[in-house]
Amino acid sequence: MKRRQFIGAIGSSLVCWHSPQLLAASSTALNAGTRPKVVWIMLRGAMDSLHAVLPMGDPALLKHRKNLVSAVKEGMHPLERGFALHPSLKTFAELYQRKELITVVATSSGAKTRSHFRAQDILESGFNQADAESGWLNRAVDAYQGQSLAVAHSLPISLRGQHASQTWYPDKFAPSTEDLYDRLQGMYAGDEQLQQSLSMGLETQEKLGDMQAVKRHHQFANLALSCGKLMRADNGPDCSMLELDGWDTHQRQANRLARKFSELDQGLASLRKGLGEQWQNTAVIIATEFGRTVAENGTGGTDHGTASALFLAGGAISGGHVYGQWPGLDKSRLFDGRDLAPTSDNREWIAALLAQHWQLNRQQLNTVFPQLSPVDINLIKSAGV
Amino acid sequence: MIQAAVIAVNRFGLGARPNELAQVALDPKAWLFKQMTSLQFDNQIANTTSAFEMFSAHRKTRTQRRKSQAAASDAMMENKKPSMAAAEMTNYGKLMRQTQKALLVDGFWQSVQTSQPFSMRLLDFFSNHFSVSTSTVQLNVLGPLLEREAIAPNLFGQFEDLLIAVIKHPAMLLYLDNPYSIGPRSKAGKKNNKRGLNENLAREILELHTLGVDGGYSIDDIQSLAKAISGWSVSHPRDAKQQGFVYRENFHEPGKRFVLGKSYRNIYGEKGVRQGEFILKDLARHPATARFVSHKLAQYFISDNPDTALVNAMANTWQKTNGNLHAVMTTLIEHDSSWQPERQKFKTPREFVVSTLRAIEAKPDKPRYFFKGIIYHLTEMGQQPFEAGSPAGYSNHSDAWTGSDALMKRIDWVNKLNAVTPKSSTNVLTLAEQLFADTLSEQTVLTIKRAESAKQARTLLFMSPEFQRR
Repeated sequence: MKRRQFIGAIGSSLVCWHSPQLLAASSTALNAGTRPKVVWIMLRGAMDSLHAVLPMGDPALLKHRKNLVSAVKEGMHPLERGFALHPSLKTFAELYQRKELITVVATSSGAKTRSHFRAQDILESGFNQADAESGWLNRAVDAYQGQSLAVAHSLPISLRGQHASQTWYPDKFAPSTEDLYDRLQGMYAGDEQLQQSLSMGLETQEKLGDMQAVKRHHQFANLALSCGKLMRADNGPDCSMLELDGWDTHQRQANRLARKFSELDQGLASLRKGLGEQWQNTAVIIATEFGRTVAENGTGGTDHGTASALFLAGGAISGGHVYGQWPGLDKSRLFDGRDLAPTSDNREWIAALLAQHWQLNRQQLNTVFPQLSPVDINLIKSAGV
Repeated sequence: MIQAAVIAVNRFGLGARPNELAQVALDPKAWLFKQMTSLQFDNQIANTTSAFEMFSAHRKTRTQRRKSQAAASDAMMENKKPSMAAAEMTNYGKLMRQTQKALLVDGFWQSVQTSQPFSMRLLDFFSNHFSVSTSTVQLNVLGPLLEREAIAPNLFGQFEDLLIAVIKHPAMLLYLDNPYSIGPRSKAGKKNNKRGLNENLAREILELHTLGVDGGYSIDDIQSLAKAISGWSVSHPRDAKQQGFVYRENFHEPGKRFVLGKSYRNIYGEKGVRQGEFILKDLARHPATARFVSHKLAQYFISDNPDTALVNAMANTWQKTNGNLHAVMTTLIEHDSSWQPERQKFKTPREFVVSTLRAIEAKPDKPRYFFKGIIYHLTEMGQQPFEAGSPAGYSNHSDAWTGSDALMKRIDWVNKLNAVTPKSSTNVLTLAEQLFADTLSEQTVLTIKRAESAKQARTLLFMSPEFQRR
């Protein structure tokens, strides 16, 4: 049954690729050559990896988060080694089947802090200490002598530094996320008037048939689609960065994450669509600043944790695997008695990807991520050929 | 002292710039007193003279066009090109709107950068007290000039000088229909009895600018004042000698005037303008005006329902000094009830936007483009500059600004601002402390601390009750 659905999906995407518009686009793509491309998607707010890549094979999982797991027991997508993807991650599952997705479990960003701001700065700069003036992707694309694009209003730290990067963002309102409204409501607890105005404003938005929510939901997908199209153009950038926020799920996370995962999933699907044939030359890196507590908290959410997961996707990826040593969820194995323990560093994987995909040498890698060794695993299809 | 400094910069000013608070804390009242001088603006962008030159240039082309129209229609018959008249017309409107934008952008930029935020707030107050809206193309440019030419130089002088400067400014005369108000027994009135007095300006002077609606004036007072200021007009676009205000003796109703029981003698000739000026002077010093404007000032700066003792003290000063604004504002600053810790006012959209830009020390790459965007957002939040749509101006009451849609628009704007402004290297909590010292509630600090990103933390700071109120 699953297999048939899968074949159906391929069939429909083939139909899509043969529409005249995209045929024209794909011929441009051929002209654009076959330079390997990198897309960096940063998830801000600490994505709960244990809800994205569920370690179903770990007997301790249900002890820590029975309610959260039972919310997704229908429609999970099984992976190797007893892991499974959240039901909303349909494109991820499809790519996994096509051997275009790698999941690395129990990775850390190298940040030894549970502060979002600092950890995000560290994840972006790629050093052990945050440096707001130099980002890892900037140093990497500088070494590669390529071009870069940030899909943002202003340059994020990841792309700050010596190498000049373009920024692009459609001139519309940045979306006010659900999460922000929640926090504002909390902050207005002592201010009746503001609280009332906000509640009424939110009610009106809801009455408008959730139009704005739908629009927001599509916004990331639209950005990803445009990003893909820009990248496949002649002389298009060799790498780009996209950001998706709203992952800080302290409360009622089951429903919220179902929506967030589907937003991310549609974004990845749109990126692939936008890239067209260039998807074959592309490696997408998806990571977050840290993970969340193993146990669910009293409000149906999870709090700031340590290790999370890393996704590598794309036509260039030699995928269909779940990598990373699994530390186990037994109480005794938890970091600080509460978090998933990190067994590797995101940067070791990204470094390997850059070495294999962009042929950066040891010396160059050392400027991107000082004093870190790339993992010794083939992540890229053509690597070693 | 630091709490008083927070009050000084927020309640009396336009919000702190980072690193400003410590300096203000040395002596918050002295910091306010030091600012109490008139404001100056760049008159190169436009001034009454240049505005009237634009009108007359436009008139000329229009006359030429009309002359050539006949020829043009003949030409049309012969299948030649039609006239360019329509294009010229749009160009004029466009030029006026562009000039208006340039003035608004400059005014906004001044507010963000100013080292006299208290004076700037008082300017905003009087600009709204003497509100004009864009009802004609000319007022696009003249509206903002009223603020710059008539109000800014008279901010801390005698109220009567401010009042007379405002009423004689072409923007006010045109907005409230005085240029063609003609006394029935004037030379022009006798010649053409179809045209007559227009009481609009006189009525609003009494009701909105001076005594207030309960100030105890009658319909006769309105008519008398209207007669006294008949002939207060603006130069004709054809007139190359004079630009702006002109006194037209032949429009002026001759004779004695009685206003509020006092008689004002007839003055012949060029000096007839002084009859109206004498009445305005007395109106400016009237006890009802002292009470009305003092109350409105206290309501604007301190509280929707200001303390009676404060209003009385200000009105007393007003009467003792014949309406010296420096003295009245000093009383406001010196009064204890101006310094209560409770934040009783909700910022207007303009106050909110300016204080946010001051907090982040906005230095846009393309200021013109950036501030044009700001004007759009102010419109969305319900406070388009010079478009109150009524001579009463925008509401002085907080309730006017706390609506749910306006609040959602504020959230959207801050979100967008944070997206377009490069992330500052200052930690948001540090910035919060620079702006508010230790006066933020635990709830606010905690919410900012727990934000999921620095951008979100900034949005939360600017949307906090402490930032929204003052």
